[in-house]
Amino acid sequence: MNIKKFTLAACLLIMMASCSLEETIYDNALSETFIKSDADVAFQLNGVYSFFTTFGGYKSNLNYPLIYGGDDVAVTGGIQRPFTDRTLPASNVYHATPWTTYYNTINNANALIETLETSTVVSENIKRQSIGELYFLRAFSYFNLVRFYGGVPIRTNSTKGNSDFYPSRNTIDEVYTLILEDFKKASEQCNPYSKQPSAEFGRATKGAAQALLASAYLTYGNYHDLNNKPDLATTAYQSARSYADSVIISNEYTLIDDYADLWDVAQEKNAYREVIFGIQHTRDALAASASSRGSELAYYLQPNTRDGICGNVTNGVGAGTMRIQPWFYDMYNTGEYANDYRSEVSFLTTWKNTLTNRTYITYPRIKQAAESVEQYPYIDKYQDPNGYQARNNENDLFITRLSEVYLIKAEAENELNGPTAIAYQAFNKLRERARKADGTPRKMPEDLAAGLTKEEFRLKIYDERGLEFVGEGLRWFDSVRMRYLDNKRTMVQYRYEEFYPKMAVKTAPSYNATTNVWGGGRIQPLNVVAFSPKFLIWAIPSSEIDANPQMKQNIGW
Amino acid sequence: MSRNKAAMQSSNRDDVSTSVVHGALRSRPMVTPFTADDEIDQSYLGNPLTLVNLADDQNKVTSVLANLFAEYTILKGFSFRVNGGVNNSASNRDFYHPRGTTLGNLEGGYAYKGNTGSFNYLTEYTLNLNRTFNKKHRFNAVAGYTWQEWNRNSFGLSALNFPNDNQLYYNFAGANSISKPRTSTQQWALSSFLGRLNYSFDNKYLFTFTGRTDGSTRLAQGNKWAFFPSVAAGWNLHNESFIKSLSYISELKLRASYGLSGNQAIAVGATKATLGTTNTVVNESVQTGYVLSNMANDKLHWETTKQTNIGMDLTLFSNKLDFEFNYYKKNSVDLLIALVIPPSNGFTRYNTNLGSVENHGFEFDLGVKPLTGSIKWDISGNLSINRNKIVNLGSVQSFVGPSFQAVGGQSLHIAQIGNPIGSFYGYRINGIYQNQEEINNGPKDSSTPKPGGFKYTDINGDGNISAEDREIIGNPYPDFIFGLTNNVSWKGLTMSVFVQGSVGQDVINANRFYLDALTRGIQTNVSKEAYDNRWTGEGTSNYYPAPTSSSTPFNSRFTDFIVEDATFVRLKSVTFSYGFPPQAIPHIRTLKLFVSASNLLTLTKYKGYDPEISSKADNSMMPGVDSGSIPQYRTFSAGISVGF
Repeated sequence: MNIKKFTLAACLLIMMASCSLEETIYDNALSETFIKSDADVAFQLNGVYSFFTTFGGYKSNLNYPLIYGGDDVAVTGGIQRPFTDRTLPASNVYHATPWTTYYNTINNANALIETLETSTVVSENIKRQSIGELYFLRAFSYFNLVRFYGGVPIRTNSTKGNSDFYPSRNTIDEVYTLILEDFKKASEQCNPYSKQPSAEFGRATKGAAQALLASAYLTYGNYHDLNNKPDLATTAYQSARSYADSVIISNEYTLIDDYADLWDVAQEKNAYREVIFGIQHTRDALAASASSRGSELAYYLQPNTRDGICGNVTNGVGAGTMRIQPWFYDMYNTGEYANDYRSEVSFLTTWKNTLTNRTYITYPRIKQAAESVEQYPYIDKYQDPNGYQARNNENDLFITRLSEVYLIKAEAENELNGPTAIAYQAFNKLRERARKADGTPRKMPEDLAAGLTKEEFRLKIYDERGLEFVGEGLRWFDSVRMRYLDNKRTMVQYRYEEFYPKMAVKTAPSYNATTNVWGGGRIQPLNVVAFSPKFLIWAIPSSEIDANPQMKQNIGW
Repeated sequence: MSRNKAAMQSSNRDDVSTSVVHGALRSRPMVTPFTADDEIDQSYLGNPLTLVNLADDQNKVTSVLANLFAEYTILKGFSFRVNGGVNNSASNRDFYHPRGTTLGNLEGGYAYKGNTGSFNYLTEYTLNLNRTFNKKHRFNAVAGYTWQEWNRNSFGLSALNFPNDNQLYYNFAGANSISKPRTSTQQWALSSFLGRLNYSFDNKYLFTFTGRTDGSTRLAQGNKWAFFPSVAAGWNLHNESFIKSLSYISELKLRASYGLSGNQAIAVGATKATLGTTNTVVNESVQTGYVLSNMANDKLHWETTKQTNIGMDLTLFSNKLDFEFNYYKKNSVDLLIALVIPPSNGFTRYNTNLGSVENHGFEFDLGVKPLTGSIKWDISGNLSINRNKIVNLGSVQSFVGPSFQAVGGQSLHIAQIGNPIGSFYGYRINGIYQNQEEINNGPKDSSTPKPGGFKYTDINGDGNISAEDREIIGNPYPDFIFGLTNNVSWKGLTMSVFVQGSVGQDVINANRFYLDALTRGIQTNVSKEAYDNRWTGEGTSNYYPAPTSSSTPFNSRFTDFIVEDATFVRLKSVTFSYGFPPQAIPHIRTLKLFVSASNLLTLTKYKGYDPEISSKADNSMMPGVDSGSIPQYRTFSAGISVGF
């Protein structure tokens, strides 16, 4: 009996002693102790990059304003269409995800910068390079935020329990100051592309920072011009030209001879001889569809009757969500752009469904017997027959390529000095490459002929960008920053106030099967609406407005 | 030990591929669920019948409960007791969506296998003292220590792209693609020292004093422990001589108490800054990345509630009538909440102590036995009234709830000082614009309304419709709730009828967001009522709008249009039973037959399926939303119980 009692008492004491209230976290890593060596840094750095490849980022939601928001596309998908036809309410949820994507990136970048700056275990070399990339990611996020939303709250410290959760907006100038500082630091601290180990391929480089500096200075210069501050604009254009030159003379990048090779997923890595920074996607065996890190572009941009074009489990067909405006297609298949190889590569006007053996055509093709007719052409840049699912393909989305850097140089030079020989030379680099075509040289497009005014030359750059980068997410940015011939209105304002109203027929093209003639207009009619200043900027998402009493909505929204 | 198997069906997501109710409501009328030869039509994407009939979704739960105690009497009336309890449960979920379902078509067959396990235990060590002195002073005292611990773990795996649908979730090796598994392990514990003293004098005056010191693993270092005392007093008036003389009073008791209690229910790990895993692409391949997952709060402490109760128990006429009354008032301070913070922080939640809430209310219970002879009739009823009000929210005046995907991704709820927590917050619609002149004279609206469009109310009067024109447009809590039970029995026959009701609460009928806005751009159905009564020209409707080609219902605004009074009275259950007299049949001790029905009749003006529903009932900032919810079933059952 006594032994039993003793045993019982002993057991109780042991049990009570084990009752510690220290909390152990098993299934998450602790921030404070995660980085124990140089090797750990890459994992947290990967985390900062990760938001761009997710559904809320460039994989899907960010493309709504970037690509679907452009005037060059006609959208049929219900979710994406309000971005094109301008019926988007401020509370649209797909509008909130880009905001969240960038701010998550910023907060994670800030946190890792803080960790690395105080770390005693990470080598100076890794610190310097990693912090350089983090500055790049922070600057890149703010550069997009300021273009989408205007002056946004600046955060340069990670959010903690004692932070002010309710920041007010900073000015556009303040945001640009940070962007330019951060990109400069990144350009000093990141590896040049040629020195980047292949295990880090795809991460930010010195060249990427310089190219984006050129782009940011150019955009900032445009902003000054639109606000009648020519002196400030001049300074900005000078820097834009100088950073564009740095990229060009670095010889780190080259224009790939065959324009089509840029989108050939079989040689995607090769494209990065020209691509300076891109959002990498890959066929993801570890997650499916929307949650995978694969690309959706081939699926949404290709016709739903074209088989073997993406990873769609159903015969590899696309969704046909986004198409090209017929007027836009016409522009790049007539006049100086007639027979331009880039149009041939970029646009799709006929295809064959190999399962039904049926051939499809779109505007402006003329129907042969037994062909099916669709109204709008498609963009053909993205294809991946070996994708894993409809929304899980290999295709990267390029942020900037060397050809853009040439055009930045031409544009900055033109804004500073008008269309000088330097400007023409940079511009014609693109024409020269286009003429190389698929190896059989062409006469078209010819070099841009001298004798243009500054305004005409600017418009040529805008148009050249329209073709060169179609489907790459630059059109909306170009349309809200660049000015029309009158030097006052942005291109988007001109489009809605003058270009659309002057169209004789404001309807979609319609095919007359008896006369074999395309009648009707050349535009998706829903795009023809009156201009509003809110077309120049997106709304602050309602998730931010609702939760933050300090946040003021953009005008017009 | 128990074992349970159930076929699961997703109900509260707005994704038509996984919600049957949403799928059925939103399917366009041009499509039919069956083909000409009565097969389920799989060619129509999102056919909810594919989900009901083709998807296989099984959940098996096994749980073991065990309890053991030992008691040792040290001296007379003084004992030591050890109590141990264990609750171990495991659940396995398997599902397969074959081709023909939305998910199965998209992924080429989609299988999931997952298990969750939980192991919880409780140990209690108490010293008990039970003594009476001079036959009038009775003491009962308890002092002790308890330790409770919870352990949870889970593992889940998805596989997709199968060669065919033959093997369901039985052969993951057949899949061409397997997702990264999801795993979780969590542990938390509560440590308590407690003491209680009951003292009664002459069975007339009753006093209870309690005190407990609780420690929680979930709270911050230095704030883990807190002390919660309480005191209660009771007066058995029926034992007083001046009442004893009144023969019709069987019991009369007055009660009062005051005490503190604590709440530690906040996410495990809330005090720590943590990193979660994600994937990204580097060098053309998928790589693991770590991202911030929880913002640490190193000041988290106990939420405390001060509660005052007063009450009375009264029984009259030899137990033929009994009546109970309670009044309570609760002040909860330092509420533990997951505060929704602006996404510009890089986090959307912060687990913190914030603000205070007051609840007060009355409860009445009345029991009457009109017949006690060979026919017995019992009636019992109850009525409760509760009022909830936010008193303080720290540095802010209000904060909004999580966004709700099925209503345009907006927050529908708000916590605002002076109002109930989780009040509905949105715009008001004041009819339909009848002509252009009305629009020109109305407030500026960025959604550029046309005649036949909704007329939003400019609540702040600034001439613009903006986010500032929202206000509280509904209260998810009832004015009062009641229940009424009637039992009538005669010989072996018993009839039991239970009626319940809830008056004055509002419900967000989120299904109507898509069905009643008459927007064409998204692929959805419209309700017949909205279509039949739509605006077709000046003066035709001041409620339902004209159809538009827009793809954003209500311009993505949450409005009072879909807030409804969900007052209801419900015939909750009716049961008839017959019990044979004991030993009426040889070898059978008892034999009872019964038939019963539930949810037979509901009286309500609510337009949805079931006024008594909430899609996100587990979240105090998302009450009262009916979004694709599967209504409560009407059930009929019959049974026999036999005792040998």
